[in-house]
Amino acid sequence: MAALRKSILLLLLTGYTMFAAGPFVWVAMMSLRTTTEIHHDHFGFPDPAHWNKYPDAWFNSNYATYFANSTQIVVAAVILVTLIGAMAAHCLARYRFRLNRVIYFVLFSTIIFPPQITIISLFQILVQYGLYNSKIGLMLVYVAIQLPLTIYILESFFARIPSDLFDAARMDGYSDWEIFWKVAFPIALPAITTTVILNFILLWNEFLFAVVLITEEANRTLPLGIQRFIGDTQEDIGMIATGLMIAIIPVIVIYAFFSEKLIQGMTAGAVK
Amino acid sequence: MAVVSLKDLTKIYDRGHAPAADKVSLEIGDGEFMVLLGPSGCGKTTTLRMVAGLESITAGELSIDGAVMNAIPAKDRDIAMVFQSYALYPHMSVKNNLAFGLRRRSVSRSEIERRVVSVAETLELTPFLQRKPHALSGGQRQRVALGRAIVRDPKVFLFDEPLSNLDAALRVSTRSEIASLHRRLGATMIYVTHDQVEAMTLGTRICIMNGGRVMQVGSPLDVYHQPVNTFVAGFLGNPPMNLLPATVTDAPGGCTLAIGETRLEVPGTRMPAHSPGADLTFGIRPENVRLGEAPGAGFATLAGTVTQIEALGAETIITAGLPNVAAPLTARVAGDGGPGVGDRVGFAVDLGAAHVFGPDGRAVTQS
Amino acid sequence: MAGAALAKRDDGLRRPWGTISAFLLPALAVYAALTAYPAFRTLWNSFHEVLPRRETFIGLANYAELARDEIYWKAVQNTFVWAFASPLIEVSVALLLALALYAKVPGARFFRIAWFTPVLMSYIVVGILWAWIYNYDWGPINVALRFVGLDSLARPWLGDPDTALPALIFVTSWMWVGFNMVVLLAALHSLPREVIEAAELDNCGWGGKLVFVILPMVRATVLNLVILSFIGKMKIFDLVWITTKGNPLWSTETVSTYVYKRAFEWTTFDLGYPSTIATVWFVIVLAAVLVLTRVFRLREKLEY
Repeated sequence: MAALRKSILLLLLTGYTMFAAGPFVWVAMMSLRTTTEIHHDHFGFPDPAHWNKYPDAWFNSNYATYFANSTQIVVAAVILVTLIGAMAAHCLARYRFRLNRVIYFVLFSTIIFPPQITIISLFQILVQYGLYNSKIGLMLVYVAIQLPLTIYILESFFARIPSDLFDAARMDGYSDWEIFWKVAFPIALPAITTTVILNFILLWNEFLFAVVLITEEANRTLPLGIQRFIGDTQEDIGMIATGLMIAIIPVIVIYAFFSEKLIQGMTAGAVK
Repeated sequence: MAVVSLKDLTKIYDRGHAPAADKVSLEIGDGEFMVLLGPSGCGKTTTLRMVAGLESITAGELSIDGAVMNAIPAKDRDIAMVFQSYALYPHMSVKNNLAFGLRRRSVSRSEIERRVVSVAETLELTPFLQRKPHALSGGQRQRVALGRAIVRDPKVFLFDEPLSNLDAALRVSTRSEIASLHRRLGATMIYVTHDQVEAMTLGTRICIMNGGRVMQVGSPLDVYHQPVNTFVAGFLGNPPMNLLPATVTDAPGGCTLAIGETRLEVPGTRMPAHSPGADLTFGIRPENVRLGEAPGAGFATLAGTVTQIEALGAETIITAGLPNVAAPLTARVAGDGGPGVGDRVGFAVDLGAAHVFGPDGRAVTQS
Repeated sequence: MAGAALAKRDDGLRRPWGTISAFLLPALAVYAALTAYPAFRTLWNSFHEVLPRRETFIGLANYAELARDEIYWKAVQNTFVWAFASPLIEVSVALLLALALYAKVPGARFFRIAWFTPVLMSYIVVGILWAWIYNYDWGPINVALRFVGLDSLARPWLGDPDTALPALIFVTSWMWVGFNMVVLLAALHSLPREVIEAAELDNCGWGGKLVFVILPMVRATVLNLVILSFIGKMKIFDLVWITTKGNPLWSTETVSTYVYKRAFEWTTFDLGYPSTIATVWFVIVLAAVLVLTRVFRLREKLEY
């Protein structure tokens, strides 16, 4: 009876896993097959596997540019948001002052804002300041949209560092600024890593702000690039599948290395 | 080497609230080991943190070697502090923990190295220099925390309940380590604790605090034998001093007290004359109470019913209820055996060791 | 002298304002320039006709127009359907699966990692993928239906106004159920085992245990997930944009896609009207989140 129940359970779990992962397996297989092969049988196994489709997709489109743009914008935004967010979070967690909770709430509540409330004006503002259609402009906007989540995660971590440590460092002769860099920041490194990975993935996938604020081919990020690529390749499903895989792979690689950290980051705050 | 002087030091966290430290005045001599003792919330840690520079001083004056320190930041006071939680930097090795405080002072690299090695040697930390704090035992962490203070070679050492996170056995050995450290360095040390055994064994002098105020300052035995008020009397000693409500009975200038139904004649050396009817408190330490009837002059007998017996082997703590007396009487007698719970027994009280406190709780005993 | 020191507010060491502002300034500057200012500017826009080189004050005209805008209300309706259906589906399915996993199962770590994968993908990738899955000719769903002889049920799922919205809701559920499950699993594992065992001793059946013991204890987590899912769906844009662009017949139009269309696709060039939509929508989302939190937190929090 117990064994039967366990097998039913396992069957259910495996079934759900196939449902969750199946589509990816399907794309992965199609990415190695030509469109002709796919039209012949949409669910066939890649035999032979056309690995050369990857370099083809890469070189026949502007993938290299999209990739480089996404990397530049996202890396810069993540570095900035981490520094700015960590400084603010440290300050809100450590110093007691009258407006502390008000500032925390104001920064944090932005999480529920629908993006429409800022996006039209951001478009106007960036046009005004010559940052429309520029990587720097999009990067700055990315810093702003990830700031609340970053502060939220880091503040709760910084708040758990015992204040005795800061007192000890103060008696050891360190200034507030040095204490942040030499004590708080290194101790919070696990939480900081989590926010770095989380922000990286969320921004890597970001589409709405990119589509509004970037129109020039040379500045397109990867999600815009994929959209463009589909438009160009039309019905060439095999090639689109390859293109999708190229976009997925970096995320999968990061996930493979940091799955636990990432799950922690994404679920932070939801468990109570 | 330093003299630390606190003059009316006051700390108020929130206006309108009672001060956390209220006009604390204290003169700590060069090389002295001063223990601040009191229950939690008595202001001892606040006082220590004001000395350290971690807490601003609301009012009063703090000076070290005559120089006023109120506005001097913590790092420039040349003070080292050992924290209750040790406060070791978790991301640094033991070696870096020891060296961290020196790097901010104009100490040369080779000098830092030399000092760290020598401190690690004295504290037997040499094998652990490359380890991170999480890989150390509680006792080792405690020694690193001590080492971090010693390596700085400060004018004044501050300790904030440094032993309270250790288990009983380690506490005893670390206690003697701190005592020998004080002998060796001869530095001025201020030590905060709520543990009277630590206070009695370590302190050159003890400062007992309550409710933000200094109650009494003196050598451990002075404070033990001559408590200035009922708080000090009841706080020091384990079990604490018996404090029994008493009334002066006889004619003007008399020294006879009524405790419940018993009358006892307190020697004039322990109590000045009072007018009849005055409500006083009669204090007697459990070790000055014996089983049995008064053996002669200078003793009085209090009869009561035994309510609790704690046999500790070498001694027995007997608690008894006295008829018509609100407080119980505790006696500490040698050996085991004796009466059982519910027995009615007499207790001989050594009046030569009696303390008498006035209605305001202050001692009226003449020493 | 002591009196003077007392009178001065005592914040010398605890509140070093210089340091505090130095730490907070960058964050507040980013917030002010790229969140607060744009939000207020959107509000300002909503009372104006905003053309590339001309801004005219038109009072509440935009709001009046919005009230009559049928496409807008269709979009609101679609978004609300989405935002209410999704949390229900996601959280309940996730809860069932999490309970199944709560019993110790070999390979739990692997399952956890696998189920979490869809959330990490961009809506763009997911959208293209599911457009294929819903393909009329060769999408796996229709292929499977035909295989079992249910040809009549095969349809262009995203092309049919009746099925397009449910089909997209299904896609978001596919993405988010795993996430919800992992969170719920963590919550279940943090429950004290004794309470559940005690319920077993009290002769509580499986259903009883779920309703009376487990659910009340994971309430806070469930609430968080519901709100998180709700907020996410109120914002949804990418998936619709890449699959249907709101078609067919506005059956998948969401507020986000409609704002985008009015601001950047339609040739009206007016940014005032879409700003009005955004403002009204902002108020609606805020109110909805507040109401939702209120409703869920009405009863006291449980302590255990």
